[in-house]
Amino acid sequence: MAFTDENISAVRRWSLAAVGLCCVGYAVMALGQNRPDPVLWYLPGLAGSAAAFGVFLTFCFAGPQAIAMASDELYASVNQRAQRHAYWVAVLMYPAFGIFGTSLGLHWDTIFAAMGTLNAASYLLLVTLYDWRTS
Amino acid sequence: MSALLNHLKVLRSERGLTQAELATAVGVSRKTINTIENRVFVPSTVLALSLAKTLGVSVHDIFELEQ
Repeated sequence: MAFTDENISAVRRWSLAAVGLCCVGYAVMALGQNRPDPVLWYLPGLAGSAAAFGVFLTFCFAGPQAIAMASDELYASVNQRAQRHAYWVAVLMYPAFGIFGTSLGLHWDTIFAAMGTLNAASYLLLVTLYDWRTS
Repeated sequence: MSALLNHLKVLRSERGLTQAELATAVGVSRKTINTIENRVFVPSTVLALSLAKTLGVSVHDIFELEQ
């Protein structure tokens, strides 16, 4: 069975959304418990690797035309827009965590863990949102 | 700056093509055709020329600047 461009789009969107939510969940738990490893520390990385493998498999079972159609200029535009906005989210996280993190008495290692996962989540969820809005 | 109008939906319908059929013919997703028709996305020159070639018209017949 060959996947279509719509299948690739759907798998990619749901995979990125799931990893994004996993990263947000990890950051919220880290901040809530004030520790950098509220659950298994490698969980966000594992989720990201699983999603990448899932998307890769979908590409493997799709023809070259379906891959080209799923990665066309609209998707490139959506992807670049999400990257631009995620960059500013990442930049704004430094003052936000600098002020609120220290005033709330959070440990620096907790702040770094939360910022790291939120950086990833911002891009993943923005690209999912923008992709979904053009559907 | 002037807004970009397009007559893609009309030209496509006149030829009895669905969005999916036109998308396959030019090698993009159906979403891309849909967003162009709804003026959400402005295509590149290459895609505009591909659309014109597939529909058998000039790019100026598909796109025009709003007066």
